[in-house]
Amino acid sequence: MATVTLSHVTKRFGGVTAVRDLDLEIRDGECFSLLGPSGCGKTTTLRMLAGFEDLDEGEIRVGDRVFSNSAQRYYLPPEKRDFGMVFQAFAVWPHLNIFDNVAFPLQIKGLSRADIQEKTRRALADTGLLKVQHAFPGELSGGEKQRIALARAIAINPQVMLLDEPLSNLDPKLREEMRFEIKDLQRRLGFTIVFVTHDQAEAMAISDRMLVMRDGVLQQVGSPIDIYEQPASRFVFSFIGLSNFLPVETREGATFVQGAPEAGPLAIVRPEHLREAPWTLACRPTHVDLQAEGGLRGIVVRRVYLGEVVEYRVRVGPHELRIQKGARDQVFEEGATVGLTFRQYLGYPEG
Amino acid sequence: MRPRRFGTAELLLLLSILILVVVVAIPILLIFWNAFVVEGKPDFLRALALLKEPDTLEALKNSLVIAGGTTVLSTIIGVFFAWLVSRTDLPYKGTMKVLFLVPFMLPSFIGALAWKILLSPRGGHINRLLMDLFHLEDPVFNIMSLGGIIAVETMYLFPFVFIQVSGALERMDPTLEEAARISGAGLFTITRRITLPLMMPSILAGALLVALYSLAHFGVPAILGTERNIFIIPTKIYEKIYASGGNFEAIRTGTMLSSILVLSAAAILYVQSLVLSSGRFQVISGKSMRPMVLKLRGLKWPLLILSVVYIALTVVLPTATIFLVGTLKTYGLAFKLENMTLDNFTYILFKWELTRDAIWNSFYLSLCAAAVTMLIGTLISYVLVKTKIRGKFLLEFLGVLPFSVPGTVIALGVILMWSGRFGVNLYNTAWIIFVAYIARYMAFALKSTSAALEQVHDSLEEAARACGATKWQAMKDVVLPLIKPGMVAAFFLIFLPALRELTTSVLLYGPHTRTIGVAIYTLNEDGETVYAAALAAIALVIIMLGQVLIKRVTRAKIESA
Amino acid sequence: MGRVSVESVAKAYGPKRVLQDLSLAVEDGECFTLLGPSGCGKTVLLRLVAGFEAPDAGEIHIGGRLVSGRGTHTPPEARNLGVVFQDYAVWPHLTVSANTAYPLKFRTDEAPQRAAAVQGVLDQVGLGALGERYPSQLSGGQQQRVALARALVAHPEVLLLDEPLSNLDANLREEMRFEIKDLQRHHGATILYVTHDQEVALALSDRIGIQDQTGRLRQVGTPREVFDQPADLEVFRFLGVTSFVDLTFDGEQALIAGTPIDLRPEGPRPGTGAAVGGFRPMEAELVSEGGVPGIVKRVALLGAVVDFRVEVGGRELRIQQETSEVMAGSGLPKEGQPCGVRFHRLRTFAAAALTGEA
Repeated sequence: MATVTLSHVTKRFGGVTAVRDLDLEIRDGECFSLLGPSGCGKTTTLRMLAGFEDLDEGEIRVGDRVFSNSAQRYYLPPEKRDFGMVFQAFAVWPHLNIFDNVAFPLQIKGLSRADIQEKTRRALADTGLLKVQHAFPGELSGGEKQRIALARAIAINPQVMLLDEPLSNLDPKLREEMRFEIKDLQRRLGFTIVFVTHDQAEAMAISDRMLVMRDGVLQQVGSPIDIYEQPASRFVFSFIGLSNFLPVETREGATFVQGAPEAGPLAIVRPEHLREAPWTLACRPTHVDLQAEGGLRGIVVRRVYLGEVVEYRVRVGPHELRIQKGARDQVFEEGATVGLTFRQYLGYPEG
Repeated sequence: MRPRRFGTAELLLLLSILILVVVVAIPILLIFWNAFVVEGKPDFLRALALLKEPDTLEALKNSLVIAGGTTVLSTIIGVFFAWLVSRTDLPYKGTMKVLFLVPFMLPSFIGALAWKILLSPRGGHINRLLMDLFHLEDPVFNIMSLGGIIAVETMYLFPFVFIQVSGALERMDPTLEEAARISGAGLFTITRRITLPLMMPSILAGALLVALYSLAHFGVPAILGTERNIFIIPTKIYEKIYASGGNFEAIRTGTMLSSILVLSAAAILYVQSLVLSSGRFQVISGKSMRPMVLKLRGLKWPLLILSVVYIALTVVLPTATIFLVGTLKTYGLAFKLENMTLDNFTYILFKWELTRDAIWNSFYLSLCAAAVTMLIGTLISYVLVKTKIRGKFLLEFLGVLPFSVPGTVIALGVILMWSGRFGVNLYNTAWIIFVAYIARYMAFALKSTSAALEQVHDSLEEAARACGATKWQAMKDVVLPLIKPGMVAAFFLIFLPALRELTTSVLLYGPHTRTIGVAIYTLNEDGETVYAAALAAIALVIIMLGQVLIKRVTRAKIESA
Repeated sequence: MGRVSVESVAKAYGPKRVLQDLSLAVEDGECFTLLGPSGCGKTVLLRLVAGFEAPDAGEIHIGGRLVSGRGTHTPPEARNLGVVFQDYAVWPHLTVSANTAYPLKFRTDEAPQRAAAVQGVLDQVGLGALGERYPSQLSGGQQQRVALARALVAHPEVLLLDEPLSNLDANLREEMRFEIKDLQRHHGATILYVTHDQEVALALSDRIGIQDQTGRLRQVGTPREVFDQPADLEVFRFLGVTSFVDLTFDGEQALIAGTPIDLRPEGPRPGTGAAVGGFRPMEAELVSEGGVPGIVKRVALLGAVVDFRVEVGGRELRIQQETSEVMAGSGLPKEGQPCGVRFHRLRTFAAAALTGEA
């Protein structure tokens, strides 16, 4: 069983707490992403998992085995953890040819010559590299180098694969393709994936479950669709996609935009969990409708044609909202007054 | 621009080629000509016969042995210390790193002088001390031997390897080693199969530089070997030229040997370029993550002590010796306060014409050579980097040529060219040294100024032109200010080495045109050990001051830029 | 005034012919973008207009004056242009003010007017307080603004921009787009903008010229024209993501994989040979009943949209729908599940034009 459990894991660098009291359980065979802005602690978490960093507090277990325990000062060194790992800059050894790169972990294990040959071939076949096995990495493209890194990681048939922003150095088309390839590999070989990325689209596309991190603190854990539809905080909402935040006030049943009473009331209902009068309305640019009359009044400040969509910046009092409409919908001129209706929205406590 | 047949760019190219041909190419060609052409006809057999003479053969053998030994030893020491400083938790790493570079700044022939004083078999102070202490008949160390030369050269050349390897170790992408670790390899396996192979190009680059330098070096073998009849190629050339008083055959032997030197140097550089351009080893990372560090545990302090002792022995000891001996009233006296005086220094600096002239000459020649070489170098670099005319390759070739030519060979070539052959006789004047310096250091100027010019992207000039500036105005307002630091660097890169050099000027000096290096050397040859040491001490002070000044100036420039 | 006219211009580098017989006209005060893949020659054309290089053939006129061609070549410094380079080309040894003031050196302004002009344009780009800083102390976006300020300070007739935003992150790029647009409106300059980034081109331009790999201009028109009414399949494929289905016709009825569809594909049918229908990801949707039968190959939740790869009639199509719509409907389908596809828009092209497609 390759369940990965992190309990109360904390890591400090000098005066900075990179990871704070992290509790996490990654299920056997799932593809789990760590998502967050740079510096949020996701890479540090992965490196603690790999064994490259020790823990200031807490414990890491895989299955029943303890891999890191700060209280007991026990750390299984990385070379004994039997993980597969793929690094952002590929970390493919330029002085070895592709076959030797992939065979390396098998050679270290001391397997028989025949075994090494067979397992290496299989890994190369799985990643489509059989034809170039005698070439050197310097002759290959970025995408192919990434495949070498993958092949090398799966050669020992690991239970857990750690991937540290493996696709960020690839161009967008290749990134998409490699995502699918990784997913396919996982399906076929059945390992657990821990995937670190700062790209929310990538995390959502690839994961079974994911977590969002900020400044070392876990913000939310769940399936991609759950996190997208029910972001737990304003930060998660804004990180997961384009967003609008409108500070509003509900009093005596009517909701107004703070600082823009003349814009009129919003035809919305304050979410139940929010008791206070002022709260923040959060909604996606595609969930706001524009009409000539009625609705919340605002002025079109900008209109940008982006091909598939037209993007508006609409000013409501001191606030500016980003709204996206299809290219075929009714067009509003810059300077025109419009009415906004909020089809879908969430509410967060103010501040 | 629209096609033009002959414009300023072409003119500059022609001028640059002309300068390099006169300064660099002709002297070298003359060497080969003199060696292989007898009475108008090529005669390789005659030249090769010269090689078979026992003393030349011996010199060749010694050169190879010394260069080989120095290279191997320097590589071992250089790699060891580089690894110690970059990949372990040695305490005071930062300081040690700076200290290991100090040998670089000391002229090795001054070091040889000090070691001769300490370890010469008959009169060496340390030998005498040990002989007295342990009641020995024979001296323990003999520095005036092949082994001694190798040891001293290693002391001052290992930084070549150290710099290359420690730089590469620090810049190496740590994930290359982490990937090996996660694949199950322990530190030993990682070092053996990953780190070392990836470091090989840097190690080789450093080692080849050491080999190049050692083959061409004059000072250490001259001071430690000549007395004992141990000759290497540069010292043999010197002996032939001076002992024979300029006789024909001797000069031919000299040029023959020079040709060998040039060819070996060219071969070494060629091998190096192959190694460096293999391209496989692009291991420099962009992200700044800490590389894997080995915990030394129990060995921490012993190794630190070892390193400090090494520095003390190779730097502090010789320097102290030089200063102390320079203060003796007479050589051979014990080091007691009543036997020491500062008069030697004042005598050398202010009273003795010989040394006063030498100091003045060195400053004057180095300053002029540095300034002129820098300016010419900038011009040539401009043509190489910024123009797009055909025929540039010729200029590139001529520019790189002097890099592989040892100082002795340049001196000989300059003698052949400027001793009346083409109507100009500069022999025994300061001018001949001046011309030799320009040839010798042109490559440095080119490297430094081309690097600076390459940093100035074309778009910076074009932006100026789009703003309304003509090509010349753009050069004045944009290019010139931006390459000034590179030009200043080139200046100092030439000034300091020229100030302290010996190899080139020892073949070119006349009664009134000694340089500091030559003065120290000849004083030592004449047996004036105390004065030689005193002058050497002064030279060391000047060099140290010069280094500090340069650091200040270049740091100030970087901060203001 | 600021009209730029390029007539039958050609440029070759050795055996490589980058531009051949290229003509285009940028109207006074217009923002014109040359859009094309890397290596298509758009930067070369910009450099020809700027005067850094001369065309092998053809003529270039700026503001009605001949600047290149017919044996003459006005050097860049005499063309009264503003140029913003991809790497900003801001001089590191001069302060922000000195950088910005440089073009004024060559005009006969008096010193106080100069200072005022510099401060004015720096205020406009939001760097008013940073005049005494050096470029190394500024961020990439700020350096770009210095480059803009410097290009505008002397009120040039024409502003040339060479991919100025490609080195900035997405947020900054958006911001700078708006700034450039505002600056253009304020100064009334004509802009020739060169880029490979479609989003910027569509958002910023009055007109766009699409250049293909061989350097030819395939279509010139407003963003809407170029996006909505592409002149040919190449232009269509170049902008945004596109997918194609094989079309057959039974009289006026269009069929895909044998299934008749309600939609009337736009555009003329090819005279001979097979036809394909092109569409963009949001122009089709998955339906639970009816539609053209297909199989869901991949499902990827990308946040606001769900991205589907669907196989229909032997071709893989890319379809995107709003996440909330999908979740409100039958939810996320499983990979391998059969589905129906309904098309909202199809453009007809000749299938032969598709050769070379992956």
